Amino acid sequence: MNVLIVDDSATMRKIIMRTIRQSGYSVDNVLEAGNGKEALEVIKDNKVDLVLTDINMPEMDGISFIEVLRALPETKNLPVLIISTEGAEDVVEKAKTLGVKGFVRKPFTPEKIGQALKQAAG
Amino acid sequence: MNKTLIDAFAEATKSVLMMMAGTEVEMDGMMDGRQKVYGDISGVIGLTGSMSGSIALTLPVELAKRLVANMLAMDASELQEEDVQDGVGEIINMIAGDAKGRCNDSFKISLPSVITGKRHTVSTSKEGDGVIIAFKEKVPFYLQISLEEK
Repeated sequence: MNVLIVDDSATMRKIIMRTIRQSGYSVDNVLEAGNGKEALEVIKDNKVDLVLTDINMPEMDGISFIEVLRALPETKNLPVLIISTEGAEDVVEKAKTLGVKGFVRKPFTPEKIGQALKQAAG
Repeated sequence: MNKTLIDAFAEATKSVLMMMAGTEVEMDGMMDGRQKVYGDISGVIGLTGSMSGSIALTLPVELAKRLVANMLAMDASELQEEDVQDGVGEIINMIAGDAKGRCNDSFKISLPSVITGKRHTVSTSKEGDGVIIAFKEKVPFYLQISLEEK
């Protein structure tokens, strides 16, 4: 299982990475990107099984990034979890229409991340 | 500024620092937003929507290092300057996001900025519409809130 973490904060990427490992979730490789545009490059060059993405990011935000994923035949079914400070109803609804597997609001507990990973895997 | 809003930001600050950095902090009073408070590193974020303005978290560097080290489960001595700056940016982002949730997502938040400099001050409130919440950990730190409700 290869996981891609997309967040403009390197600190947050490290925290999420540590939390995934602590949750006991079996991960082979954790890949990182600082925004949606960088994430698309990472996906082009690597096999990615699950994406965990923030929403508010420079260059390309999380919703635009997921829209691109859904438009590409090779990534249209790629499981995506959102981990963000954003939780407005319109954004959550939009994410649901894009087939997002779960939504974790920052700040989070390791348990919330663990539950969301299980949900995404299921 | 109404008390509900101030409480939302105060609780968000306590919650983020406890949940993400395992650090318990207490409120230590409030001041008029035009007062000057000093710190070595500040995270600043803009808010728009039903209210507009900004919030700034101003910290002494030793506390900033300790919080970020706790968030990353690292020793503070291992941190690079950019780790501390990025970490403080993420802390103010989460405080704004948590407060946003407590206010029924009635505003939007911008991307955070970080200011550094020994004993600097951030001027966010000129019209007397702001407040400063003082917090107490081992050392004092401040959340400056300057918001205009629409």
